[in-house]
Amino acid sequence: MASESLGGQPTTNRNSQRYLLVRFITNETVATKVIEQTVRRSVQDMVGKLGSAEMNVRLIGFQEADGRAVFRCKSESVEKLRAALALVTHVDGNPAAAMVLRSSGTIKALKARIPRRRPSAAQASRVAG
Amino acid sequence: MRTYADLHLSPPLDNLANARLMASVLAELQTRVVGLVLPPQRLTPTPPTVDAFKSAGIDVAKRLNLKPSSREELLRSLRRFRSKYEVVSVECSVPSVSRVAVRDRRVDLVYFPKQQLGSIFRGNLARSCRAAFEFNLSELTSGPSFEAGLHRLRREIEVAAEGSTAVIGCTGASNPFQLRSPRDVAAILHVLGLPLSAAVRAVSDLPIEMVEKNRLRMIEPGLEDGIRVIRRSADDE
Repeated sequence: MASESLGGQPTTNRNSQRYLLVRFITNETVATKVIEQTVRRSVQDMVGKLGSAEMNVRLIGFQEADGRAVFRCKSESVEKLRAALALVTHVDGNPAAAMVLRSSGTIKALKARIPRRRPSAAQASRVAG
Repeated sequence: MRTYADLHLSPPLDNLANARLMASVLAELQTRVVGLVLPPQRLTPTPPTVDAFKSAGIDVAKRLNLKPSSREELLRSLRRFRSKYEVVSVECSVPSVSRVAVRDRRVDLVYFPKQQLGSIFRGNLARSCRAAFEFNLSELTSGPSFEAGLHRLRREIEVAAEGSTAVIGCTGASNPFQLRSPRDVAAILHVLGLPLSAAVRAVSDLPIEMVEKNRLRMIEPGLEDGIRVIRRSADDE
């Protein structure tokens, strides 16, 4: 098993992740980049840059039409990410709200609800860190 | 599956479109019980806003927000309105009101507005508090100083935990943009120092138990806490 340890040493360095399906309520359609920046700012406002780097938050996908996004973070940071999302009040200067609809340990469970974003390596940017 | 509640919603009672939008968002968030602020003069007939929530499958509890300026005013209002509402909340902006509100069993929730300088939930209040301490997310997000708000809230949660006072999380939303998932409100409470299990109970079990208990009291006003009528004999009827 991957999580078993050998002589106190973990067999893998892989951290467990958690995925959140988030609904953004806005007056106007917003771009993926704006959502990414808004969440990054909210996370940094709450836990600072160091905390934000430790949370390792990434935007996996965003559906502009219905304002649904999937975020990924370390499993121990889920509550912090939920809190940071709840503190989002504006997106691009307009009133907005972010609400977590579902949390899952695998992307598969949320995949049916939102298409996955596959940006090029140059475009890929971290929400935090 | 856990049932969630948001005991503080104050949408404009004449704006039906706003209420319908809020109801649809709440239904999506799986919030099953809401506390809707209804002033005494709007209690009957029931405003159409209440029906908008009910038609979305949400259980609506009538909530009264009391903002007394003195102890006498608080007692007078409680005597007059307690039996008509499922949830009674008191805004403790004056120390004399706070001292009475935390002890009175007719008060369900106490709320300490951040703008008032003398309004702080201190240890002596927490130790004698029979009501639950209410956390309003909208106040934290709309206040002038976010850091000061977080600091104060953290201290109040600490005080509540030391005094074994129940904490209840609400949004205080008046429009869809102020709504949040109850589980997210619990996450804020957890980040601010409440254990996760207590934070989740603050938005699920505790508010629901409070509403159920008060509904029983409204049916049988003469009964004390913990006593329920199971069956009546033929002579009573």
